[in-house]
Amino acid sequence: MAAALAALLGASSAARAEPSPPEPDPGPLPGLVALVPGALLHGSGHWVAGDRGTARRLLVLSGVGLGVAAIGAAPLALSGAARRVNGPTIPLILGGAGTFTLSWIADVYGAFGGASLAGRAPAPSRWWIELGYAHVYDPQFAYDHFAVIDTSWRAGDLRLSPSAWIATDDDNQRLRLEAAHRIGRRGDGWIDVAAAATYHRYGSDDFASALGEISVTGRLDLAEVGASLRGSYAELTAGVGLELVDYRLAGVPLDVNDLLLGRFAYGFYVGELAELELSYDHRRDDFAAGLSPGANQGSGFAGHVGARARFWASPSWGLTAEVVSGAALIARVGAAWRFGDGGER
Amino acid sequence: MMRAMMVLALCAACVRPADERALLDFEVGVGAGDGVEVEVAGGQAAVREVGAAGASLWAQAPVLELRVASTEARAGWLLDVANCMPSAVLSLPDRTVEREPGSRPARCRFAVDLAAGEALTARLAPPDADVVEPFRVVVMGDIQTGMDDVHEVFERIDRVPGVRFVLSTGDVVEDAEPEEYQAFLAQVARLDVPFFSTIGNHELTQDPEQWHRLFGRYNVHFAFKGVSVTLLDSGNASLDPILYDRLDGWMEGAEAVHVFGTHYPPFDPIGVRSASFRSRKEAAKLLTRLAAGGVDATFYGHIHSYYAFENAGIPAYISGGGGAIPERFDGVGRHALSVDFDPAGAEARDRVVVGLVRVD
Repeated sequence: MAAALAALLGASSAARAEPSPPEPDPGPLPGLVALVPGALLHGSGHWVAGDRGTARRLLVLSGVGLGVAAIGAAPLALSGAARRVNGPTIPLILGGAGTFTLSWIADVYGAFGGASLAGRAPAPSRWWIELGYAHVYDPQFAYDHFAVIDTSWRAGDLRLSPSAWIATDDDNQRLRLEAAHRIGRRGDGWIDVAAAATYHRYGSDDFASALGEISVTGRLDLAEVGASLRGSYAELTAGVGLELVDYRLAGVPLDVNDLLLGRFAYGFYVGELAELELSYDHRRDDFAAGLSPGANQGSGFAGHVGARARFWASPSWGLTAEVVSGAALIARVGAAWRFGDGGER
Repeated sequence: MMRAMMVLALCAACVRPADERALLDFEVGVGAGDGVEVEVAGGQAAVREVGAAGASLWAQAPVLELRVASTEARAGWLLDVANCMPSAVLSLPDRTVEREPGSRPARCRFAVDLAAGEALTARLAPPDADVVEPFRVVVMGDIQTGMDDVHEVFERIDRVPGVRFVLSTGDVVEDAEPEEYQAFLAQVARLDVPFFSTIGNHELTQDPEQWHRLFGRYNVHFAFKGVSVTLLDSGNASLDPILYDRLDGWMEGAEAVHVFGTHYPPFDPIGVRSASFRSRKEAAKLLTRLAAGGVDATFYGHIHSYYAFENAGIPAYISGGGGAIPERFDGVGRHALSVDFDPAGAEARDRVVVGLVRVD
């Protein structure tokens, strides 16, 4: 993950070092090229749009992503996923795959003309409160409907984010508290270290889990990679967790399991009115858990994917929506309020 | 609108990828042809072929209760049961039927006379099937790319004293090509005892219904000599919700010892690797059920090595040493597990005793 982040930062340095490129001409054709042949040759869309510098940087990023993933995958495959090899290699695979995917999405965004959306991350607010409803379709469990409370308090570099998912039709509650500290900034990008604790009670299924985790998240403002990517960002997260499972049966001991956490996301802003984010999250301990491609082979490797949108009706309140697909399908809507000065971006 | 509905339908299929297989199990155990009908109680055997001359079955349990009805009288009608217990006897209400000579130990062939319009009921079982006493089986998994040499594993299993049958947690094949299944059938025919198996993820690589046509159920459950065995289909890194209801019923009616097997371990003992159920919460749900149901031991595959650990206080064993690409540096190589059952054991650790059978 660190290698992938370094590659992204390196690409942004290269962009700043180059002389100003000619004005690119994004549009439907460059966008379509970015989608289809561009899925293999990242940067193709920008190349067709005339932005050769950004095209090259995206191609290099995709190569770095593939290379990092291969560096992780090779020893994993050769060792037959040996128990002592997994720890160092799987994070490389995730980071590399994330970088590869993000460079493709960036090509699509810029080639279609995403920079014209003139997006920018809003200034952080001291308080964020979101109240919402989530529908969780998981045939393994009895619940469907959840009341969701998501809050955040920020002061300077410190953020505290408690949240709760409370089922309204089943005995199921998920409580989480995350604390994060911003350790670095670069433009609208940043690096946070975070620690979180989650307690999830499955009352009607007679078990509960408690998870402690630490993670590092880096967000890169992609305007640093190319002007055509203005208003968008890439995020990578890496972490580890320790989960205790309490089976709530007399005489049955706790189980303790470690987990690897990894996430990558691509997001962009529309002015300061709206935000859309696409993400992949490798964790399988939450409601969404892991994807299955269907009845055939391929389950058990991946986490879940999601898309989240926020629309600000005014500087202080807005609407949010999210869909997630994994072992469960989740659709969530909410209203959010933000107020107070949250300090530096 | 239609496109959105298609996407939703596809997503819904991803949420229950194994539902069709779970329902197919209810169709196993019946077959008809040329005026002859064969029914195996509980779907405990796949009825591959039925005709005027005989029927061909693949047994998925040590004891089969059969019903055969014919519209015409037929003398010397041949009942050919592959994957049967070596000492199995075909018992009719009034007599037993001798095995036809020349069969391999795990292939039973019997010639019976069918009366027109009358159903013949029979039981195919070893004479000691209902005697509650200690006995031994072998557990293995993950043959896959080791198919060409799996006869070496089977020969090693045949040398384990007193083994009654093999339990497999799946990934018998690598790519689910028809030729691989034929190769497996040729190899398993060399085993002196039957091979009772569920599927893994590799059986789903193409045409998952090949398993159904050849072997019958994806989910196996039977009782033998005071021990209940349950092998469930987790080929999609999950159990279909239907199976939890079936599992509850099987645990309620279980014998003195109950062992559970499935391909994916609910939790990978190497957490970072997470070669396990695709939902950790479903994993916890399953283990809660197994602990509440008094399961004595659990067996898994998928990971090509040997691990012994505990989940929810239940002894757990991963044995994926059937010949697939191995986990390196584990010091194990190809292997199987010998499992000694003693239904009269005072403690759980006495009722199921597991040992490592090294092949290499």
